Amino acid sequence: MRIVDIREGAVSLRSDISNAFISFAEMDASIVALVTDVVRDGRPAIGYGFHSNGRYAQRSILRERLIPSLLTAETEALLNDAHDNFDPGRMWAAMMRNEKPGGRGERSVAVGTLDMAIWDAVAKIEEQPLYRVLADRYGNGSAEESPFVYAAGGYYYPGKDLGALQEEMRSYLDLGYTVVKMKIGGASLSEDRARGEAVLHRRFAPRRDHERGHARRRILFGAMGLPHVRISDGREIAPQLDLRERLHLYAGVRSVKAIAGLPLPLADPRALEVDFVLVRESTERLFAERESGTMKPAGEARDSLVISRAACERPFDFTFALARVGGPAEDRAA
Amino acid sequence: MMCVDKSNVLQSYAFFREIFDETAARHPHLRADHCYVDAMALNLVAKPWSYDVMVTENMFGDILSDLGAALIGGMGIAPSADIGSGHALFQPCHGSAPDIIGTGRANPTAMILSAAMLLDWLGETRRVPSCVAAAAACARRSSRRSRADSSSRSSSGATRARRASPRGPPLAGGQRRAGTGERRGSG
Repeated sequence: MRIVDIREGAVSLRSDISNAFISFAEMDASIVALVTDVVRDGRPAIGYGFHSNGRYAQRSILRERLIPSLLTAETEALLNDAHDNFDPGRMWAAMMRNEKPGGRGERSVAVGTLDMAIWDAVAKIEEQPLYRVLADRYGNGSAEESPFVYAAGGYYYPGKDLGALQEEMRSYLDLGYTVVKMKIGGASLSEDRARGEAVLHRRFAPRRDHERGHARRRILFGAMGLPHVRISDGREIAPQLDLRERLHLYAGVRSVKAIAGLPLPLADPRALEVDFVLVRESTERLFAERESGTMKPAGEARDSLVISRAACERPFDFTFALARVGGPAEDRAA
Repeated sequence: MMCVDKSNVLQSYAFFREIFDETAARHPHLRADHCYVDAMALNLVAKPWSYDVMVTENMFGDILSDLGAALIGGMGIAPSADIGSGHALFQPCHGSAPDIIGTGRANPTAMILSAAMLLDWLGETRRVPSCVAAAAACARRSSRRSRADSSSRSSSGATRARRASPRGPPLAGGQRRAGTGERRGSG
């Protein structure tokens, strides 16, 4: 069992996007292939590695130092005790021989790229998915079946307006992502603020009305919505929910008092005595996560629930004060 | 004071109830109790007259407030207030009911009551710094102002009646829901 070859190359990631510091007009990334003489399923076990966008290819460190260190190491020194696979720790030791300890950003990118290839090869030789290998070695053998991932985007590029930014973020959510990342710092503070607000407000509530609502502080709101106007996943648009969150309207007061003379659904004469107030915590729980629902292709939909102390205490305090002001709750509570 | 939850099943509701109990301990003069939401659904039909103030989480509140509206005759006469520390929003409980556009059958009562709540709120918040006092007052006062009169059967008739007698009667009956049977714009 030995390493036959380690090949490295660079691929262009050239694009018009930019973040706060750099444009990606000349961006590239290193790719490596660690070729072993081990055959699995009729094919040589080859580990592949690459690194993240935004770092530039690390060709010289790979070619002049790290790869030669691995290729010239004693084969024995790279294997595990059972000699049935490579030992990533020992490969690291070989790779870092005569490398001064301490932070070197460029070198860590190069090492990380080789590290990915090493673990890929080790998992292929074990004929297990890498997550299973890691769970067996470093965990208790149980692995998360659905790991957390997020979509990184929201870059700047020429001609990209707020609508295009919203569309981009929306498309990630439509793909099933529940968390997205976006770039800031490459524009003025006010422009970035508008970008952030636009993404947080990626739904369809008209932005100007929200702004007006902010200014007015007391709002009489009509009804809004048409049955056929829907988000692509079938849900309704919900500007009133957006307003509750945006303006932190934490307590929904629903007065329920029977009015003499109106037809009531209950025949019991006491139905005329119905007079209660229901306070609805309005900013959290199921609705707070309504943008985070996911649909898996296998036919499983998930929504999550959130309750926080902060969000509960305000409506509770409000409701107790309401009961105190409102009358003899002591006498009438059921 | 009734806390409505499902703390017998879900952790988040047990936490909800725990915080409710902490708040209740700071208000020993008020009688506080709990009820599971399924039992409350039954009780609100069986004996709704026995409740005074209840608090619940977002989704249960969404459902039970519709039940509450039905108890008093429908969405068309149910106002609402959404209160925050800096802002307040007043809105009829019903949605846009696009299926009755132009038919003159929209019930303006809930909107008028919601506007009354807003005016009450403005009056109270100028006099009383406590938003809470204002919310309580406006919720109850708006209700007290309502008197039945089933003679106004159309939107314009009810609105005219209201103009003639601002403290006069609401229009009977609930706001129709949208064509699909779902309410629009008031989740």
